[in-house]
Amino acid sequence: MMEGKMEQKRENMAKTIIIHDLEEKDTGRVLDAFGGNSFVFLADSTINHCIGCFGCWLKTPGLCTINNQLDELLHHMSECENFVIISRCFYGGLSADIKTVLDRCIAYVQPYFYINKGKDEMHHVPRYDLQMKFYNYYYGAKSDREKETAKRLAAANALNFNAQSCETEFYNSSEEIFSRRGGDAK
Amino acid sequence: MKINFILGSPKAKKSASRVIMQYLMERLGTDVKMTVFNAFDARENLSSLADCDALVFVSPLYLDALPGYVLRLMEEIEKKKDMFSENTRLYAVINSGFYEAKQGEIALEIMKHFGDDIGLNWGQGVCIGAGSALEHFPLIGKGPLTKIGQGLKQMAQNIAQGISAEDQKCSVGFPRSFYVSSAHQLWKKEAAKNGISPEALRAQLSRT
Repeated sequence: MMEGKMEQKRENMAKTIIIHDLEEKDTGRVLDAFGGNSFVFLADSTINHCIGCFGCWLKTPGLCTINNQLDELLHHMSECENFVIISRCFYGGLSADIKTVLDRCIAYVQPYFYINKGKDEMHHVPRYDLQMKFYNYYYGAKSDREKETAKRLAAANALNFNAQSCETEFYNSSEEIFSRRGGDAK
Repeated sequence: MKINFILGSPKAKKSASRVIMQYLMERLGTDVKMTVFNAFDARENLSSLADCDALVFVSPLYLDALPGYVLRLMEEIEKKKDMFSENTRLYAVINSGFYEAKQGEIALEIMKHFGDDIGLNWGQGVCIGAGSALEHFPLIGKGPLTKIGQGLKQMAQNIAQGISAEDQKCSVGFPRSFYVSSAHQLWKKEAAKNGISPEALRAQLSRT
């Protein structure tokens, strides 16, 4: 009986996570655009910022300590295969809304460090074996220089989150994401 | 000369960013009016923030970029991009918890694109590696933090003289292996206070 219940809950974990900084009313369109077994998270100004307390590593390993806002997201991240970010390209980086959420997702990795030999850099040891595919959809970049920075940032975050791959696409506007993706499912 | 600092650390008191900022402030000379804004208050005081000859961001590195709350301030500034007077300079110190100062490069790029768009002249960027050491070694400019001290001292002179200079990357003088093992010891010590074992720091969220 217990095994059956665990199987049911495991099936509730999303295969794809989409974090976006659009509006709440766009969540349905995001689901339609990406489809499948997806968990959509709206990043907006109600999300509290990271306070740099390291509680997500040293007090409640794997979960942010501030409040419950990110609990469900972090649980889905532990098993997701595709991690999708839809963000305004803010000077070659992510928007404040998206970044505020991601800052609190460092619970996804361990506090312990390893040396990445390819880059000769310190990075955090992965917490999970499953390596997600990382997708970054930026809109509103003002220049090619910003796009170059944004690509570098996406690759850097793919490494931060131990992703197996990283794809980055640029759109002129958030509306273009919906018109180009249509009903394509991930 | 008026210099406004934006402190990007979320910590109320002790932080490596605050140590860096204070070190810069102590070396700017006497004929300078300095004001410190934290990234949160600054959003409510944009007109005061704009009243300066130089704007200096001192921020920790979060996931290869600026923390979300620093970006919120930048988004507010973007909406009033004409508020700075011509010739205002932008400086930035990015403080990384990783050993390699180069990991702050992307954050500096973002700051430069920002400055270009809102009409600020790029003064200088300094990336600091192993910045957590600044919270544990109170003196900088001596011993293992000598290079960091030298880089920041030069930056302070550049700010005070109103000049631009090449970006710098500065790290600590002890080996990376020492930094990593010290950090791991620190994690274990702090976790023990919370009743978390070294092994439990690796725990995965349960599937239920």
